[in-house]
Amino acid sequence: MQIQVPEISLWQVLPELIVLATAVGVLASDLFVKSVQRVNVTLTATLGLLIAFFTARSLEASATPIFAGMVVRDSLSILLDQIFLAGAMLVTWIGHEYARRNPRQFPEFTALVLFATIGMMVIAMSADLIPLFVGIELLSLPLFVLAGSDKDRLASGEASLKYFLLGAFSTGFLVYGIAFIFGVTRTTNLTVIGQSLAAHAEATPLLVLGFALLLVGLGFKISLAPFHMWAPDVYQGAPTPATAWIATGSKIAGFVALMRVFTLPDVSFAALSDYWTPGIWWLALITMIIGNAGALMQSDLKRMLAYSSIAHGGYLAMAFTSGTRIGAEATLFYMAAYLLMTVGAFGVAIAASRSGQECEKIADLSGLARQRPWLAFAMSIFMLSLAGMPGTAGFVGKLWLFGAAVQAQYYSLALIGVLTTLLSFYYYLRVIVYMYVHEPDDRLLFNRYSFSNGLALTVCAVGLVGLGVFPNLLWSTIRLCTGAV
Amino acid sequence: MDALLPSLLFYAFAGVILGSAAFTAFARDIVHAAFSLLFTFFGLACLYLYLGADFVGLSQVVIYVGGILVLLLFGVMFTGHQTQETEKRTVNFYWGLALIALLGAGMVPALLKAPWAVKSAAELPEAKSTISSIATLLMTDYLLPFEIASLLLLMALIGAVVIARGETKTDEGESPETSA
Amino acid sequence: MESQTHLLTWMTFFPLIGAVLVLITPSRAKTFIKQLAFVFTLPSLALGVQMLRLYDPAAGLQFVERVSWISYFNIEYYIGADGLSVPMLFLTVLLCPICILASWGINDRVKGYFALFLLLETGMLGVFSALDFFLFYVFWELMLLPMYFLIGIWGGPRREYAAIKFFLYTLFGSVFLLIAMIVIYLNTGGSFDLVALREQIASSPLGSAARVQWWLFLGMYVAFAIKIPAFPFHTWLPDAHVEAPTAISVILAGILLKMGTYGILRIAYPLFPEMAQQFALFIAIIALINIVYGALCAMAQTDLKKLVAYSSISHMGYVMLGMAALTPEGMNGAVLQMFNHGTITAMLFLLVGVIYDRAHHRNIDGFGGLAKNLPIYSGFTCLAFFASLGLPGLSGFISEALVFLGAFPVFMVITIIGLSGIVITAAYILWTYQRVFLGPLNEKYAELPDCSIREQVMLYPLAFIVILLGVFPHLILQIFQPTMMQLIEIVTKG
Repeated sequence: MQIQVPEISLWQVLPELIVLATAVGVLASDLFVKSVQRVNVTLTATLGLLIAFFTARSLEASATPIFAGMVVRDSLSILLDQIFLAGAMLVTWIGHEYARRNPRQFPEFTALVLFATIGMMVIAMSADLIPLFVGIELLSLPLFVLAGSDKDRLASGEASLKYFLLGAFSTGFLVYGIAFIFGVTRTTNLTVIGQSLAAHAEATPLLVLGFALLLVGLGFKISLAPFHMWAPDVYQGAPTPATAWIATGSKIAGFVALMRVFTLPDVSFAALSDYWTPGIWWLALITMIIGNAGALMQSDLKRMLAYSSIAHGGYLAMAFTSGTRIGAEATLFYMAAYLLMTVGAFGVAIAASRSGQECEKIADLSGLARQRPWLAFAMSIFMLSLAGMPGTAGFVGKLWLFGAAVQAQYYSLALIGVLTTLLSFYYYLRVIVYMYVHEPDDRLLFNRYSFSNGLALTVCAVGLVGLGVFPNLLWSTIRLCTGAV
Repeated sequence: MDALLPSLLFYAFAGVILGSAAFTAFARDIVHAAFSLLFTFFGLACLYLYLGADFVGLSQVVIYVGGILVLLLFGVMFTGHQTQETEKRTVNFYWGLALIALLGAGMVPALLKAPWAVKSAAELPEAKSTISSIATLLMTDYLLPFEIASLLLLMALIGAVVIARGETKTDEGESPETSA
Repeated sequence: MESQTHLLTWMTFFPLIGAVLVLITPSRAKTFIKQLAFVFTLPSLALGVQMLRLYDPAAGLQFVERVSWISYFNIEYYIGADGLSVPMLFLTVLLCPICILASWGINDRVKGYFALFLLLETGMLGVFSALDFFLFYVFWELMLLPMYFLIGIWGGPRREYAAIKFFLYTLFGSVFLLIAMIVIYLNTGGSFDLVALREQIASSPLGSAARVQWWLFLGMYVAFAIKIPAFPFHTWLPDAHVEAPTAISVILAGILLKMGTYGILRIAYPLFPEMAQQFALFIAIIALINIVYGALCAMAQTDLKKLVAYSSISHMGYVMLGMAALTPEGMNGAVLQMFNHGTITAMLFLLVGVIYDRAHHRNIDGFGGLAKNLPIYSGFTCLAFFASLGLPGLSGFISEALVFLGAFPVFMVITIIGLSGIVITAAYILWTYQRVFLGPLNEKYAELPDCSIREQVMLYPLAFIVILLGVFPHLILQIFQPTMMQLIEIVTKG
């Protein structure tokens, strides 16, 4: 029997391999080195991620799928690789600070973050439902563990269990959906699915069911309402750096999966957009309302950020619904901005600790401006960017999200989005008020924060303002991506 | 007659699977539930074999029945399972029932009416066993997902260690106040 | 006509440089920070004077600078000045150094205060010079933030409430502006160019869609009316004024309120001339409510600062009435009133601040006979009060007279009722003056010192302008008259 071995283009997946090598190296260091210095672990991870970042940059984009049509190295996946790698670097840095207080799980912590990153990168380059699914699993598993890695706190274990159960549940939906779609089209390859759907574009009930299940499965991942229930508890309970990576990396990867499956023209279900857009339309609407209303009522910083992250998922879904090129561009831009501001906000939550106690309530930030002016200033930038103040990347991104919705004539959706944004100013500003207006309620000083955390916050803040004033910096790259697909 | 026997077999397997799964879900004693799960797995394996998926069917028996379920029972026994019945949870029972009814009403007609892309008998491969074709596919077309899946297993191992490990590692980091 | 000197850019961003320098100064050097902030408002003032000298009323748009900013969305850094923006820009650069002097008493978190103040100045100048809709919006929002903090951190006892109220009201309005902006952008094939937009709208599908235009105009009106503040969106103003520190009240009343009317004249009127005519009666009625209701509220106040705040609402009603009339007298009167109210109300708030610094309260009935011991202070107050009630010979008279002259032929009944506003204003101002300055001296305040040199330096320039423009109004009228005539032509032709 003659077996045709497809071309194995390892060079094309070099960034993934470098991250894998780094993760394994970090883990193995614990075996061979007697007492692993935290600094060395973080430095190793940073170095590995940097090399992977520049390798990804230097890759040449091509729309031809590789590995027997399983993955594709188009400019979209290259850009997303860079976003994920940069995000992983920031999370590693704020995790370094966290590890000072919780040294037990340290090398594993970094390694798990890196493994999750590989999962995200696999999702980003999937051209087939199988690698997409495996990528989602590879992303989820480390995050389940990360959520429960702080064994001193009961809440962490609870978060891990909740996240795991609902994650497994959503995986069930996902696989079910994939199976139905396979049942109709006899293939899992997104390009072939797209072609066969375009050929006879009618939605059989089974196909609609497949879409719906897929959407529900991914909806859990990106915590779209009404599949968002797990998010506040998990975000609050999980160790903060893990929360940061769950809130950003996992959510962005979920949207990337949606993009790969639903919107990219000629590749997938775009031909049947009439059938799935109303679904996402409603999800976006509910998500924006629930996220913002929920955030309004929180006194816990991480819970507030959890609801705010749900709300931002709603905004992204809104642009995504439009299914247009500008919608895809806005989504990509906002992903980058969202990553910077959310990681930054969680980074501040870690850094603004008092006698080793992490900041939990929003009120715990009282008086931060007097003792740690730079922290307070950076946090203000993150909050304002989340709210969408001009001059920050959050504004530019939101403007284009709303613009995409208006262009697609989803006026009511855009209106709800704008109104909820207005609402959001209240709870974001409240954080700033606590930092600047209120005096600390006790004389406890804020701890000093590590260089790595300061660096991460600085990168986030500078990036947000930079992209806010000169969005062209990222915009040209993004246009390249959507032009290619 | 030719059509009747296969259908009868199918419905028998399906009945075993559904019945035992329901028992697992509703049983109050965790050991009973675990044993009932055995029948579910076994029924599934039979269904696979019935469909001609010999490799999957056998894997199902070897891995789930022989491995996972045995581990599960060990786990239950080692952790000192209490014979007392687990609390019966009826939180939102009727809402759940309504939701399931709704989903069922949507799904069943969809499944019945679906134009399944079934291969005709002529299209089916001649091979007696599916093992070699699965192996070929895993090593060619599905090489990358296969490798990523191995990564997933590695991940699961590490994760299990991190979760299960006792608090043996002492604080080797500096005290919080001294480093900057 | 492209500017080679970048005058407007320098004027706008000089304070920003100052803000950065203030930020990197150690916070211990409080006096140095104050001096630094003061020094960095002066170049803008100098450039403002230079702008007045160079501005040629006949030549239309001047000092234009145009650079692509976000090319993909056709957003430009496009600034320039015409007859409408020149007085407003000058007012801003004039009031800012004065307000820095008025803030000399700030001793808590000095660095933050002055950095935010300078940022605020940049934002305000940006709003008045922007000719790109998007740029305008960015500056409009950008200005909101320092204002929020300046009230929220350095304000009075109920500062948090007042600050968030101000912020949410304004934000609520700007959302409508944003929506209007996006709709216009998408319908004109992607343009933010405020100068060209009028014709682009007329030739786009929007040009014939009267219903959509109606909604867009209404949205813009709401956005700007909140800033003016027009009834019924005025309730944030008394709170914000009472809680804000003196200098911030001055900026708020002197400049920020003008942005509302400026926005209507700069954006809403020229973009939708037909709607401007349709809405004229509506705006006139609101103006009437503002005039009468504001004056009546002012009369009922016992807090001096609140009185001045309500008088602002009343006076902004004149501006709206003049705008609604769409006659040469009315429009010119409106812009003149914008400038005059800026100087007069600034004086009033500064004077309230002066007495509050000494007596630590602002209760009108708590004083009495102050004229005896504080001659300079009483003199300034007298001048400001009379200018405010529109005494002939002072600047307020000219603009109010022009507004009523212009509005009378168009809205006869409204104008006649509106005239009662003048009477009520005269009543509450004279009554207040009598209670505070005349009568037997309140012994508690026998030892109050009169205005210091610093305070006099703040007040003299404003007093000078109030008298000068009362006698020679054409000095400033000639600047904006051609622009206003052009605007009237646009609106009435449409």
